[in-house]
Amino acid sequence: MSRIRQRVVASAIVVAGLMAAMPGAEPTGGAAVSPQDAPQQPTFRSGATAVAVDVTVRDRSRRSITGLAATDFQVFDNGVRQEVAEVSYGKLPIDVTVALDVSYSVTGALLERLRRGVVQLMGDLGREDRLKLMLFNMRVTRTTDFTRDVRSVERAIREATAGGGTALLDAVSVALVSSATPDRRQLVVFFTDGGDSSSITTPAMLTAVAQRTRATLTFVMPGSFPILRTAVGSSGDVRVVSAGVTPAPPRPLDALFRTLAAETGGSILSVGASTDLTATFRRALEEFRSTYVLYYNARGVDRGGYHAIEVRVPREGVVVQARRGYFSS
Amino acid sequence: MTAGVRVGVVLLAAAIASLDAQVPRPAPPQAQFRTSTDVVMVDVSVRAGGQPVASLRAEDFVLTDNGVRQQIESVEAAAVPIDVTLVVDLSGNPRGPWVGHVPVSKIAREVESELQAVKRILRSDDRLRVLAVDRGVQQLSPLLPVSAELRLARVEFDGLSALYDSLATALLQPVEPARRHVVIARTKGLDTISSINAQAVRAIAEQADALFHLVMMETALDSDAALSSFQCNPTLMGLCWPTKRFWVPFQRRLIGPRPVHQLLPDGEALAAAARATGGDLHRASGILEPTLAGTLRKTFEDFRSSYVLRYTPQGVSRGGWHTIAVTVPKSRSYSVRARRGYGIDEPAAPPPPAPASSAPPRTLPEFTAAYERGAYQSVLLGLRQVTDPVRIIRDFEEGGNPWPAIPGREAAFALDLVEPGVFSSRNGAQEEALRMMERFTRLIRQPFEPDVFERYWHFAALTLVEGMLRPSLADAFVTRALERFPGEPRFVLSRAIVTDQRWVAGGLRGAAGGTTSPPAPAYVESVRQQYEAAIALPETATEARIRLAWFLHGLGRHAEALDLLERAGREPVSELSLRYLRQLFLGHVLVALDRRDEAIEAYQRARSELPKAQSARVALMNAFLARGDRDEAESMAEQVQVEQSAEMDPWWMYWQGQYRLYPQAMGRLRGLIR
Repeated sequence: MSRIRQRVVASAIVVAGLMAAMPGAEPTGGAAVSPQDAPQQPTFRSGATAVAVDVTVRDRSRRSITGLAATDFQVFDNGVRQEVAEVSYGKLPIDVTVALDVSYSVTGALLERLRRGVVQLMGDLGREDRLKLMLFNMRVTRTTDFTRDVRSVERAIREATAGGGTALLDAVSVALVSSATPDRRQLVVFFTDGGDSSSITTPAMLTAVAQRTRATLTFVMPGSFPILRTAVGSSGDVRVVSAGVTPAPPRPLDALFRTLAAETGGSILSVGASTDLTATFRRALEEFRSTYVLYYNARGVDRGGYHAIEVRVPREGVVVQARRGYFSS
Repeated sequence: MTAGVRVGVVLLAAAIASLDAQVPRPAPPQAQFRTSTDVVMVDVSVRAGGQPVASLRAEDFVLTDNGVRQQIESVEAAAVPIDVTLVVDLSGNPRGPWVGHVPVSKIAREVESELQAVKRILRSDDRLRVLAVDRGVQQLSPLLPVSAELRLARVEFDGLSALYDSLATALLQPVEPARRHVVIARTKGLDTISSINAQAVRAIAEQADALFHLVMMETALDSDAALSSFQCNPTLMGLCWPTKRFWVPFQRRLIGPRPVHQLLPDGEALAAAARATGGDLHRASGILEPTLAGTLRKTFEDFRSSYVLRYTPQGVSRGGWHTIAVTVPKSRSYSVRARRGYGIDEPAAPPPPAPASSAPPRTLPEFTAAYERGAYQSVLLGLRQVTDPVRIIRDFEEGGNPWPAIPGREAAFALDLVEPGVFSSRNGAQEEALRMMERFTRLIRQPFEPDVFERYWHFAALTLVEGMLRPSLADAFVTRALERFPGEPRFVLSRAIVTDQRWVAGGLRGAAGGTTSPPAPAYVESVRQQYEAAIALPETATEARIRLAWFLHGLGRHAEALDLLERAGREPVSELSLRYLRQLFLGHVLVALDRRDEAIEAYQRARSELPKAQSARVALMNAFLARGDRDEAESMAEQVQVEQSAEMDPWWMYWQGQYRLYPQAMGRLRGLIR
């Protein structure tokens, strides 16, 4: 049972089949919930496809709007209005994956700012939350698996050696596909300059991966940063072959980043050369934490293929952000 | 004469061995013209009252090698056949107004006439070679028996003078056993473009196995106007800018005081070079200028009547410079002339390995010393730690060739030294490295025809510039290499790779795809044609097919890409990285064609080639997920993150072209200079 659950949750929250073994609540259907509520797991007993969608609702000042109930949301699955069976807010523990670009692009003082930012982020995590650290240049490495041990994460960043090319797209793909514990929400935060020199994953492939996985993807990207082109040396070492500074992108992959953030309900946070990364990481976490999870049983639509999702909150001055869709096999 | 005197010559012997283009293959044995025994033979001329002294025996001579008296094993009258290399100076002619009315054909006839005069002096078993000084070294006639008909190659003038290069070329010609080599160079004494200087010529002469005579053509530039024209840079609106490397200021006038031919330091060096071999500098006497034939006649009087003393050095260290002194004690009135010494660069035994704990070299002298003793790995280790590659390059250039008689070693060393600069982010480092590389493309240019050393040098250089991923800078190197080696498969492939790189290096294409801006049709066609040219050559066909397939795949021409990859798969491929990339690319192409199961099989075959390579794992992970195999995908993601290989993933170096072959190319180069 838990196996079914795991597969469903990991595949973009497509809950196919029964979820009866999950302890806890029945679908409450329209009941308003508050952040103070104890975490409760929704259970679905129908044969329809059960879907969970992360939704952020803010006012025009980007302040989160809380206290919404299921009846406040309108959800469309491939254009077909769905009934929201359950809403949770702030109940599920969070797994944060922080992926740091340690190619030649990210070195020295910036790496130190990253260390401080990540350490503070761990301090901001809730009691049940965890953090995993990935470092990538052309290699993608899980340096620390999900943990609450600040010191191990801090040590890992301190010991990071910057250098090499950048396989950013590969790293994003791996982070999204990495197995996730059921009933925990997944936030993946990538700190990168946005350059990619070594990925085998194409933008189209990565977009497909984002549509088939569950995590919310947020990019923290410098608004001004050095541009370094790297190459692999004869002994396997990687060196910079050109360098420069650009005050502002466009980066070749900017459109892809926007697509990925939109597909997964995440965002792109731009930081300046001296921006406090602590505040930026905290913001990423807070935005993710102040997210509703809507559960519905997809009805009236074909089960397989890509399902476009649209979520509305029919109120004046409300900005709704949710992932664009999911893939159901 | 053997190893001792002819160490410098062995390099050329290696360089003219059979051409061998395929780097990964084991090197064929190199031609060797000399044995490795340290037997030294010295030409000695003994004259009394201007006449040769005959009938001397071994015991009549006293010969010291570095001050240690040696046992003369034999004395031979000089009956051995002679190879004569004549160097004629054609430089300056096109721009000199004094020859403005002299057609090239006339100059060629004059040269020919003089050569006929020289031939009449030689014996039937002697041989003659003719070189010309111009922008480069022209071989007007290869080494041929005197009896052969003399046919000069097309005489060409450029106006510039590579005198020192020409002299070095002549002096470094290999000499067969039982023959002797005489170089007679007639020169105007100006050099404007050589890659080496007069001191280098002197160093080469000291170690060369040749008797060297230099003839000054003082009347050739007989007026101020001629001199000014020769020395003027025509772009400076008539202003004259003296060349830097002249050694005889021409102040001779048709009317007026006697000419003053003062030898400048470079001229002194060349004179010393000639004397070091037992030869001389021949200057004008009154208004008469020595001719080649006249000089040769005078030289041969000595040469034909000279002795060859043979000895095996005893009581002296093998390496380094050996000063020779020859006397005939029984008569102080005899005038004895012999070469002044010889040098040995190579130690007799392999140098002791550096202690394991010794630190890698850091300074240029340390790099040079390590390179000299063959501690290449130590050099490479040290170079990787260089923090200021510009300084190393400049120190190297300011110091000049540490091995003047072994230009090949210098050229190989230079490539090693530029590598940190090529991959450095320091301001100006790449430019400095490329500038030095560009200079050496001229230095390594073999005078007559390209040889295996030059081929490998160009190849190593091309792998470097491909590795930079700066195709605009690499173009010139590819062009130069192809000029020297038209049709050389690796260079043809390099042309295609560099053109292909423009798309990705310009940020218009992602590493694995994702075109942000479609390339112009003309560009696409150009890349295709260049890869087709490499496909037509068996040595590079497979790699060119794979690369063209990837290029076409990037354009969305997946069916064509598939066809190429399948064809590449029908050819045996020995290189692991190519086999891996073929399967990896095949997987991507099949994904694009929505043949996911076959794509997964291709990715799995790539994994079987290199089980821990990240790119195949990531590709498989994506493909599994797309097919709905979530468990498999997650398993792959896990492996990517925790099971890593220290080895390089071939995909990571794909866009760096043939740079993966750089270590082999350099290893081959170093092998050639040993």
